[in-house]
Amino acid sequence: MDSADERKIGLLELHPEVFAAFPKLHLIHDNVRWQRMYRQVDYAATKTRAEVRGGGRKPHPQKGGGRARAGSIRSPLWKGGGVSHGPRGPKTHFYMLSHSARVGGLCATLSVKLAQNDLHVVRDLDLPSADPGRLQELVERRYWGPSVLFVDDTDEMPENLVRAADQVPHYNLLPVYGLNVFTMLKHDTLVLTVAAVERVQERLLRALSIHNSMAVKHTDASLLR
Amino acid sequence: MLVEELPAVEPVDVDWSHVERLLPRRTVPTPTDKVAYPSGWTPQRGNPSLPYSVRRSVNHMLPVYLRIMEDGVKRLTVVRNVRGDIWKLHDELKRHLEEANSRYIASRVNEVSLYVQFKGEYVQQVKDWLRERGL
Repeated sequence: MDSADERKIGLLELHPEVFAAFPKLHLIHDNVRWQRMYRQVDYAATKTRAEVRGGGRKPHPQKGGGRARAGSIRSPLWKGGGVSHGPRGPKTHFYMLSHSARVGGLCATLSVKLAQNDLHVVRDLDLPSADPGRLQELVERRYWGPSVLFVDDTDEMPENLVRAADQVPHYNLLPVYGLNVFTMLKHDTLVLTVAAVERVQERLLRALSIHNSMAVKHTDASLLR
Repeated sequence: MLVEELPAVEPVDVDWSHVERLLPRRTVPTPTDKVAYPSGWTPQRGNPSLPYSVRRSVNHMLPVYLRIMEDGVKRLTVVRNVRGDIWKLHDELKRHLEEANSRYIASRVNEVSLYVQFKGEYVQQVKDWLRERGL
């Protein structure tokens, strides 16, 4: 990325299981939904007739008043009374999507991005200057989308890129370990370094050969081969 | 304890292979090469002449499954992860199953989820047919 115009440097072989996977839309949808829902907390809460203040005494005798029978002024039938089947306190929507669904979603999204010409590979992310204007000019000259996600294999990125992208809210930087379906879909263009592509392939191919039952996250890594 | 007080360590030559072979594996290993397997399992040989192929599962098994629904009344044979010309595979497999069973077999193709479904219990016949073709 040393000049605004792009230059073809060489050919890169991509594994078909990762970058030419069938675009399973249900997997992409499931991943996006999971990413949104697992952290969602509903704070809606209502009081039942037992929790509403008051309503312990029978308001009027059972018979003889011409009124409907009542046991408490906080019954759900009464104004100001409790809610019988309302939302009950903070509710979490946490769930874990299966390992194969998450891996499949990543492969499907990468394949979709590549097939739609939204995935570009660069040798590295070194810029000649930290000017955000120059970075924008580079992105526009190469016809990269309005929003660009730069992916490197580690979280330590070249300083010029960090300073330039910091000024532009729709240019974002991400290490490989942060790659997720939602972020990939949110940004129009993905720009990966060669090192990032190799790391992504290596990790996804290893993940594809893990059976769901073996995909336990919190285990002592030293014990597993 | 101070660092200076710690006892000295020396490396000891131990053969851990008898322990390592018992540790759980993280990924599914590739099967050892044999001429014949007692279970009847055959590895995927691949068949470039066919316009379709079927991706084996993580455990290197054929993706043919029996779905039992409606309390055991409804039985469906599903072939998953079909790549290439899915309709060609469906037509050829359906013709083979109908000839072998002398009856009409209702079937369904799902191009989006890449599976083919047959109404009935034909898992073994489908697996044999796929194995003959090296899929």
